[in-house]
Amino acid sequence: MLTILPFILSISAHVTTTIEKGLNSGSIDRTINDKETEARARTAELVRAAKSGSEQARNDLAQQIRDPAFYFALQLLGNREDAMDVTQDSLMRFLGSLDRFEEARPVLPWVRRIVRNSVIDLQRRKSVRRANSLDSDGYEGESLEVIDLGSDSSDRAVNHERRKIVWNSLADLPESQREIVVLREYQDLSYQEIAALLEVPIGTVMSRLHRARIELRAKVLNRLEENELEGLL
Amino acid sequence: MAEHSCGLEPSEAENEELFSGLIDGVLTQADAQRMRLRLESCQGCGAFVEELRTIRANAQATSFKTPEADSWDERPIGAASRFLRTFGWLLVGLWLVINVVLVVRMDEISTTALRVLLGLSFAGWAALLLSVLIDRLKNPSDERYRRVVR
Repeated sequence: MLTILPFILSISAHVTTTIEKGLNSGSIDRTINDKETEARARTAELVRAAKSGSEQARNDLAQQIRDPAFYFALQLLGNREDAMDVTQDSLMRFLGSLDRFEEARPVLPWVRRIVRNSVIDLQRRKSVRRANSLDSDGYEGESLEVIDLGSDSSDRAVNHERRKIVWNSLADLPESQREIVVLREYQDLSYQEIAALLEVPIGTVMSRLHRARIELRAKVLNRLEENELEGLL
Repeated sequence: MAEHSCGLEPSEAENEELFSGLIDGVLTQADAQRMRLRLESCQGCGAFVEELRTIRANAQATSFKTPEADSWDERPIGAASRFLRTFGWLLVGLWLVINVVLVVRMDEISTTALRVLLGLSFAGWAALLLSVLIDRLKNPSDERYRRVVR
């Protein structure tokens, strides 16, 4: 009996630790969910106030969505000036159509839809193809920043180079492929969210995304080869 | 580059999108298991998926510089204002060039040409003024997004 006692104790300790970890991760998930619910409730409150005519609420709402709208426009267009124009138009359209918006719905998907429509309008108007409008030298230096994952400066340089190459390779993709890559890789939308935005079935999203990824990979490998950085990926 | 011992390039596989599904964690348990077995048995497929994952990770870790708050205030609002602003500046630029030409070759220019050039310069300034006026009408207060026409 005494010989198996330490064994029983170690098992019970292991079980206790596992349960505690489970409880802790559950509480972290709950905290994140609580924060998201809170943020959504705050936005819904702002939308309600803006709809009822509060200038301050309209201002706050515009400030809140301006950056996400700008990033999305920039990712779709690859051109900072055009992205700023699209962002401004989108904000005007967003505020102008507030009356038709139900405050219980999340704002960002709606903003994304408006930005996407504005981008399509702009591209139609100017017949801009990103491949033409993108001068990669001016583009990458101006708008791209790198989140520093490596403490070492050489790590940072490698990360920066890699991200720059992926980002610039996007310009070589056809528009529809670029869009789906942006939605999944840069905006981190789920397949359901992409399907809802593009109004296509999920199966189409999956196959279109995969073809786009294969194409992007080929472009990235090409650029790496051109720059003699083959081992970087 | 690693060989595809399964004999198929990922773009040739029957259910090629399963590779993406695996990366995004959206496959059914059976499909995920099938893909994992394939990746274990085919070095090329494993390397391919790893490259796609690296590209995704790099895309996700990319951030972009936010424009300065002031730069929003200086921009024309709407397509009409933007067009007039660009058009206006072009004509004003032309006007400056014309002025230089006028000073240098005063004797050789006819009165009609002079009138046309003068008209163009006025049109340029008018377009700029109109552009500013449009912005003001759309945004009469000092706050950028207030009082949008519903």
